[in-house]
Amino acid sequence: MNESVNIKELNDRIRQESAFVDLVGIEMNKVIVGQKHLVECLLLGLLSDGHILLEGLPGLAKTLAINTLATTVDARFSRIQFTPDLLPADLLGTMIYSQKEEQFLVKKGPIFANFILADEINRSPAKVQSALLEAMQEKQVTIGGQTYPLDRPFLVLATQNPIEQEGTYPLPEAQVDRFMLKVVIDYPSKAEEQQIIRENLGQVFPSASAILKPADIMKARETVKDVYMDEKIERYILDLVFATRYPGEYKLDRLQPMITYGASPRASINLAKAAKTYAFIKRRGYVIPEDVRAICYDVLRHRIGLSYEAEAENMTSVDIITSILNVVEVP
Amino acid sequence: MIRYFIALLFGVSTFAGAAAQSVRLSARFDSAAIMIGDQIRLHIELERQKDVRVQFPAWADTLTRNIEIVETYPVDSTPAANGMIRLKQDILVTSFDSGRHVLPPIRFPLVIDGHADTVATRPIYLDVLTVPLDTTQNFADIKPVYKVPVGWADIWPWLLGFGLLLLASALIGFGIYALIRWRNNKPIFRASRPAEPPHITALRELDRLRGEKLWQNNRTKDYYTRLSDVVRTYIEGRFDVMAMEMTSDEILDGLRNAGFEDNNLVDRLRRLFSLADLVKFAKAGPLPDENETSMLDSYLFVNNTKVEIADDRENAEETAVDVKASTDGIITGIKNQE
Repeated sequence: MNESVNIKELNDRIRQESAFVDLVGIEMNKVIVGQKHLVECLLLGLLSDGHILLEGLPGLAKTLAINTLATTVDARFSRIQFTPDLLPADLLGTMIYSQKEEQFLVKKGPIFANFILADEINRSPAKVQSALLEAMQEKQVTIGGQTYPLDRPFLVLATQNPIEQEGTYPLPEAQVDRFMLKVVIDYPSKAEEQQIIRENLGQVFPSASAILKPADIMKARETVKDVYMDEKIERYILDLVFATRYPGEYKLDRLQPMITYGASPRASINLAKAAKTYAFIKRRGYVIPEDVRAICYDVLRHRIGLSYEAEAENMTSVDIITSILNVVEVP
Repeated sequence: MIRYFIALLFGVSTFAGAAAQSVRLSARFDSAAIMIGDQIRLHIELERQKDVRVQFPAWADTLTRNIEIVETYPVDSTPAANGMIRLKQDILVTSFDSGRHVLPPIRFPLVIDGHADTVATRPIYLDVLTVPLDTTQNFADIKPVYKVPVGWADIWPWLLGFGLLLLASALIGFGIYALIRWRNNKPIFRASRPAEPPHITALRELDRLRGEKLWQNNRTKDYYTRLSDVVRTYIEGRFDVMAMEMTSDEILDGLRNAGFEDNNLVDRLRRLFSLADLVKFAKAGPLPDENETSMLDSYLFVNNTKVEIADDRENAEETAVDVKASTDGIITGIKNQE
């Protein structure tokens, strides 16, 4: 086949530069049994420079997964347990008076790391959530009038426990929108869980090796930007997003009363970014509709507002996305 | 003094005479006697000059202690002789007390020439009779319920009700069906199957696409977009797989789920879709023989999977011959290029 030179070169380059993805997968699989989707989404977030909201029950290897990823990338990892009495300074850092030096010194908070696990983010009040989300957006923190850039790469994995709603401060829609992906993880299969038992009861718990440097991730991010996205794919993404806003225009009139607000332009941007990254992870230099559909649920599920009618009919945002994918024509 | 008294007496008697001449009032029952509980009308008739104003009484629910009012009808006015006006009112009355009852005079206030006066009806008698008992006879048993003969007038409301029930059931059934179709995001009325089988459409479109020579004119992307759309539309019509809303891998999975197991054709289809994806989404520029092979694969897939409808056999055979000729032409073309 006589492919156009640019795409062929790009494809070859991406095939070479994305080789580490397989290695990262191998290292992660040494420690994490199952949860392939979680591992894939962590890589998506890492390479797309986006943050991840994770919803899943306790004990599903959320902390272990991000810790392992940090180890693999040879990066710094912090786990912050959000509690009702947590203050922004506990997260970002504060000025502490040093008697020895007779001046205020900056004590940086746990947010100064490459990978942050914000555990149960909805347990803390809005001021702490806002502090984290601002840092996520700006990628810098101001302490005592001095601005400090955060480490790069900077990936936040925030978790929400779906079963306990008492005494929580649910994230407002505007702040949830700042997360690139919302990943819902489920229990492992029987075979996977048997493997988990064996690994935990063994003499030595497996550990991952550092195979990358943070600089490699930053370089890969630049390569991801070069992944080719055809106009047809862009139009497909727009159709999917617009269908969440104006379902009637896509022969989905029955969804109109179920949706209070559709996905924002940030959703279109993130859908395109994530599709490019997914193509990169699959070691391709161009995006195909499969890439868009593969990440569509994770990008859109937290960006669609459900009405009272939808809740009364037990309809979830996943059902709405499925209906849209079944109707919007693939290019 | 005596003269004044005589003059006053004369004046009063003159006024009373004038009232009697200006107003005539009568009241009568339909009958002088009724059975107890029967209803009877009381007719009140009043004739008056035009300049006389008369007020009818406001009826309560009884006329006397023994005569009850069942219904009061409105006052009706008609012209009478000598320029008078006749006012009539009927009152339906009944009585549940036997005996002779007296309806006392009913008074009607009136105004003549600015002077107030009153006219009244004469007392009327009403005999209310009871059922005579023959005590010489034995006690009779309660009579059974009469059996009324059934007529058309009795049947048609039931027929109408039954018809309406059937109609309502049909409407409810249709409503449930429509709701289920709507919730499944399917059209409420199934689209009538196109008269033309999908393979006829597909083969015609392939012929047209081949004739347009798109890739020969550097419109490879359009060529593969149209080619894959023709095949996807055919798959949708032939296998009922929603191919237009599916990705290439999903279409192949859908075919397998639909029971299609020809591995050779699946491989050809996979090759076609992969190449089409590369051209559509990755600016790929296939070689001419790859373009021809894609067309050939499309023809072969349609030709080997078509289902001919009996009524359309003749037409389909003609098309099959055309397709064979087309396919042979492409193969020959490829061989010549080689």
